[in-house]
Amino acid sequence: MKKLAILFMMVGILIVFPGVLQGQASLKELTLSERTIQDPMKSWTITFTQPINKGTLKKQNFLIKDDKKRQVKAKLSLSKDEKKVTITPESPYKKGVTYYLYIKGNVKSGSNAFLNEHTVLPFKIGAVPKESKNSSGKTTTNDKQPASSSGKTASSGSDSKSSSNASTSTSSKTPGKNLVKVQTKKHSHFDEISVQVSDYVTKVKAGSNEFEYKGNNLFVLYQPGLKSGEKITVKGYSMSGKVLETKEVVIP
Amino acid sequence: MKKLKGIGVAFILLLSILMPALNQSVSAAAAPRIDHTSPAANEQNVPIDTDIRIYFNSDIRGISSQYIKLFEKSNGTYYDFPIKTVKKDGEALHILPEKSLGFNKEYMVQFNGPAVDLLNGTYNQHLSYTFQTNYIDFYELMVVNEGRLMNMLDTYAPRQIKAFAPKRYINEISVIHKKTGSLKGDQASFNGITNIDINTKSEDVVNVHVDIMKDGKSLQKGYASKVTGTKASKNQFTFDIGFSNIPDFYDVRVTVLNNAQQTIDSKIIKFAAEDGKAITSFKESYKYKTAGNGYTFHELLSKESLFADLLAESMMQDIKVQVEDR
Repeated sequence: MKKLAILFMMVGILIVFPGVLQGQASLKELTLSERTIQDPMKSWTITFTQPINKGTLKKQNFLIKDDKKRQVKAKLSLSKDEKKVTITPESPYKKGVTYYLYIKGNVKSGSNAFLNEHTVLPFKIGAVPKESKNSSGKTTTNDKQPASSSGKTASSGSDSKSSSNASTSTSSKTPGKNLVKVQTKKHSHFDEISVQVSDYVTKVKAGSNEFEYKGNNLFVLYQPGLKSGEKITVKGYSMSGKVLETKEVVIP
Repeated sequence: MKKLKGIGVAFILLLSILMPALNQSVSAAAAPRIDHTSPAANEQNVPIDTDIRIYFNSDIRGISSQYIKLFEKSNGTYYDFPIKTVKKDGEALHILPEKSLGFNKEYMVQFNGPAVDLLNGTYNQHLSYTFQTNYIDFYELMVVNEGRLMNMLDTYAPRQIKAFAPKRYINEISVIHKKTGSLKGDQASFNGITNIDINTKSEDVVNVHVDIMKDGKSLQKGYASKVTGTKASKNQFTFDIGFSNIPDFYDVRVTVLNNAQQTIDSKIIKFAAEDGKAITSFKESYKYKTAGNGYTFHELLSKESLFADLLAESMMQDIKVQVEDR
């Protein structure tokens, strides 16, 4: 009878103070841009600006899931200064599957300040960077593209509203194919060249003609006066103007 | 008998005097009338830059422009469409509106009094005729339904078919993006911050909307606010907007709206934060050769670079096609 009364009291508290349960579940989720990795056993290191509360180093706070929401078995380790958490998979990642590294907002700093959001990092195994010719005809490797960002967690001590972010750091350098797919289509008065690009390509040109960006990594150029069998050189450029990949396309 | 002869001679003499005068008065009495109009009454797909001309059967001596009206139909009602000037050019009356005609509209030309004084008299009839400025999608003609273009070329010569590039309003888009994290190793980090500036023409522009897109979905969006004071330039507006915690790779879709909240220009740019840099800046400026202009198909076919510019500078779906009757 006494147990029943306690149960009713607890339920009552939850009804009157619903915020009790709200806690970290109501946090925003920050999804970082997808990374491409080459190492199927890649471990991820999350660096914080302050030592974390050891009690929050749990598998439910640092975890990896596949695209079917199945949790990947992984080991956690904490650095000596308690600022870095490393998560290592116990089995290799599969090709073609997108994985998600979760850092839950339940993680606390030594001064008990929570992160102010859940962080998700999608990643998958990608192709080894291919060599491509740049505009000057030299051969370059696309080793500049993103991957690592060395973000750290910040927390402002006793302030419960402390702003704190987690971001991942990794040594892997991504890219792979930058001009993913180049297609041509003939119309009666012009040719249509469409190029599907990677995340890193922000401009596409064929000679001095710039492609129109249509969104979703798709660039299109409508070009009159092209002859059947003519070769067109398509170049994909990074934000800084560097040629990431060059491809030749033959007009049908 | 003599008397009858005398009357006969007098009658013939009278006729010989009067006949030439009668003949003259017949020709002078040819009533002032309209020979034809351009565009013709009830004509469709009239180009928006068309000249409105009314041809009479005699030279024009004077115009009473207060009796000449032009109306634009909107939601079933005709509203006055201001006329800048009315000119005479031989037998033709030339009506010049204050601003360009709009696409997909119906216009009515009206005379409601002694509007035109001709050599053969005053044209004092009520006149009212309409024409429409409907258009055909360039994209439909060129890509979706090329058969329609062939049909059109059966009816009209390339010089009669006109393609109009849309007006453009966005001059420049610049993005400053700070990744989530610290600027230096020993600094505390803070959220990612992104600032987007949009510089536009001042004409017609009322609002600018910005969407941050990823994989075709809108992650964050909002109306940019107009920068006022010292940063504002003449004949230009600068709008700005800030976002936090957006990913490092995304699309920015900028939409410019007029006072009727209609989209008058839009642009999508792609952003990719640079590796190894906490802050990435990106600026893209736009200059157009063809924006707001109309070109006949003959011009486009005979000048390949012009055709290429038109295709490069405007979305094909935004190019409108109209035809001119001869």
